[in-house]
Amino acid sequence: MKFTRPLATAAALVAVASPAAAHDAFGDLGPFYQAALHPLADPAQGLLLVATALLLARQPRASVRPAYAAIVIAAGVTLAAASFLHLPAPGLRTMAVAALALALATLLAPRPGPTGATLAAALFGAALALPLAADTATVVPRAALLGLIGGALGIAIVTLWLWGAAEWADRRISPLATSVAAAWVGAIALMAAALPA
Amino acid sequence: MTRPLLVPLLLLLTATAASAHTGDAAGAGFVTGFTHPLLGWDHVAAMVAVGLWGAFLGAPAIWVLPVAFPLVMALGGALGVAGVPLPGIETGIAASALVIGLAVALAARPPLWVAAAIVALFAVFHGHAHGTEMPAAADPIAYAAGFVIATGLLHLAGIAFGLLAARPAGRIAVRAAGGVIALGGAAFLAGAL
Repeated sequence: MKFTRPLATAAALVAVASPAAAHDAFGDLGPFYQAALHPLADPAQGLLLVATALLLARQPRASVRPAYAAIVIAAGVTLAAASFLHLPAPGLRTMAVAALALALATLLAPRPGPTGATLAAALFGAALALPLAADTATVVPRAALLGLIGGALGIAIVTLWLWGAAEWADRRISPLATSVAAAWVGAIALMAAALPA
Repeated sequence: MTRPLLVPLLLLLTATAASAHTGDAAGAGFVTGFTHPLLGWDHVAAMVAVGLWGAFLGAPAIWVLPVAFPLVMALGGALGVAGVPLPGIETGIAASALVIGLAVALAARPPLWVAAAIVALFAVFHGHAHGTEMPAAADPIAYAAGFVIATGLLHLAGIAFGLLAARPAGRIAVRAAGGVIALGGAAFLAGAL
């Protein structure tokens, strides 16, 4: 009984010193926001998104419009299909090699025209969605639907924002800005591809 | 009065949260990678020299060198990550500051492919040093992003200063900066710095 008070004080202070808020960058935001923010939390997916946006910034706007729509639609369809079929997420090396290929393509500056850009963009959209699909796969229908909508919206918003920034830099600063950024992305992707699987 | 205070204090000491902050891994990876080239004077001198030389040589070297360097550096980094040994890493890094600094100081204007080959050769050494030191506990992609971006920013700093070479007084300043970098490289090679 003599030590009841000090122990109670200690217990209260230890409880105050809990590191509970430090464990998760985003916290439990629910399936929608968790999926929407996935590109910002997954470095491999983020790298691929940046590489896609840089390549888009090198294309004329007439090609970007259908290509952007293709990315969003392909991402949505892939998310739905991969979640339904429980497809595994692609490995880091696969994502890194894809980002490296996109970065090198940006440096070579091909202009395949609206049709070619749209077809390529559909592939990129599908690739962007695959890592997210494995993370959002769930048996709860409502959570799965929210995850799908959030994931597609996240890819759409982040791609649009990154493309806007890259195109602004390409036009307002110098076309070299996208080349330099593509070289940086390519270098990071090459290093990531070398990491042990 | 002392004991009631000591007991909670002792118990508080056991409540440390040091091993619980797993969310910091990504941030620590980027910061560690970003500061790696910035905290080594040999890296800083060589990277700034690359930018200076690119600006001094003018187009297309002004963009070929900063674009080629990160990609070749990543090749060296990949060798480092894979554990492929490369002899004379520190010597190569110090020599890069000496050679590229001298090229700027002497206003050397070799053909573009020669300049690119020199820069690429040294880029492998810098990349290998970064790649080997990639900490396993940190987020490796964030670490790679950190050191690639820091390296690129050092190039840009060198280019910005090198653009002064368009004016006669600036040309002297840029060549003098190349001389200082070359002297630093020689000191690194001799082990004086």
